[in-house]
Amino acid sequence: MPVNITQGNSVQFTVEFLSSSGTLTIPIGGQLVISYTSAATLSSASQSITLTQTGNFFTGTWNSSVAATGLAPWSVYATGSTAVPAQSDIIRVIDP
Amino acid sequence: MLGHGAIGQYSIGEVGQSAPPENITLDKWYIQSAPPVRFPAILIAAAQHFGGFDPGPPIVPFSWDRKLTEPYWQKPRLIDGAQQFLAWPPRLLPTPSITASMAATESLDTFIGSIREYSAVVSAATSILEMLQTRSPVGVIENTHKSASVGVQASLPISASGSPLPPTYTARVAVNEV
Repeated sequence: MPVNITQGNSVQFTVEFLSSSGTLTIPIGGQLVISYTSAATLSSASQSITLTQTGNFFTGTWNSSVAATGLAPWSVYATGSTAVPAQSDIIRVIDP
Repeated sequence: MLGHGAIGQYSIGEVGQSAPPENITLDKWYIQSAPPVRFPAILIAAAQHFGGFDPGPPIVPFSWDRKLTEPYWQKPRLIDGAQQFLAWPPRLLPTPSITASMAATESLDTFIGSIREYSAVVSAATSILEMLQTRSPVGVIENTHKSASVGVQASLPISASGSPLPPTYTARVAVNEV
């Protein structure tokens, strides 16, 4: 379900990875890829953010100030896994 | 996923001991036995990956029954065409502290699952299990002195070409405006 984020604010992602059996697992790394419309050029852009492990969680922050209002799909990947994202969803960047 | 490929066999516990240890600290696993110990090529490959054989960096984060004392790493050499490991001072890899529990009643598959979890957190770029995934089935590490044996077995997804597939993860993600 899309999450509304006010343009200019940051978004924190907190990720728990699960194995194929549904067990909480800790891959050797995680990455977040988010696509958006650039506020500067109004063209498509994307940003890859390396997630930082903290205990069982991986966290990463994206600053929406680079994005124009609109939809920003994101995907989370575990390092060493298949190319299929572990999770995907959409952020809705809204007017301040 | 088109099928499964077996890669070896777990055999954990002293020879003649039917029940495995209740708890196995994976990051402290080591191979404990009097030399010589024969290792399958796959584990030697994994060992090489984790630090090489000579001049003696840690071999593999495989360990053995905690009840055994004074573990020692074993340094391999080639004798009569067979890899044999000779005594080597213990030096553990800086792997994360992960403990997997294996109850005597727990199924092997479940335990293998926990090994997979462990493999995901090994700080080295590629885990032992990933090394195993890239190669053919392995046999059991057998201690010719019959004091210990360790092996690995897992059923892993394989592709149409027969090569194992990388693991697939799902994730729970919380998204918060900050």
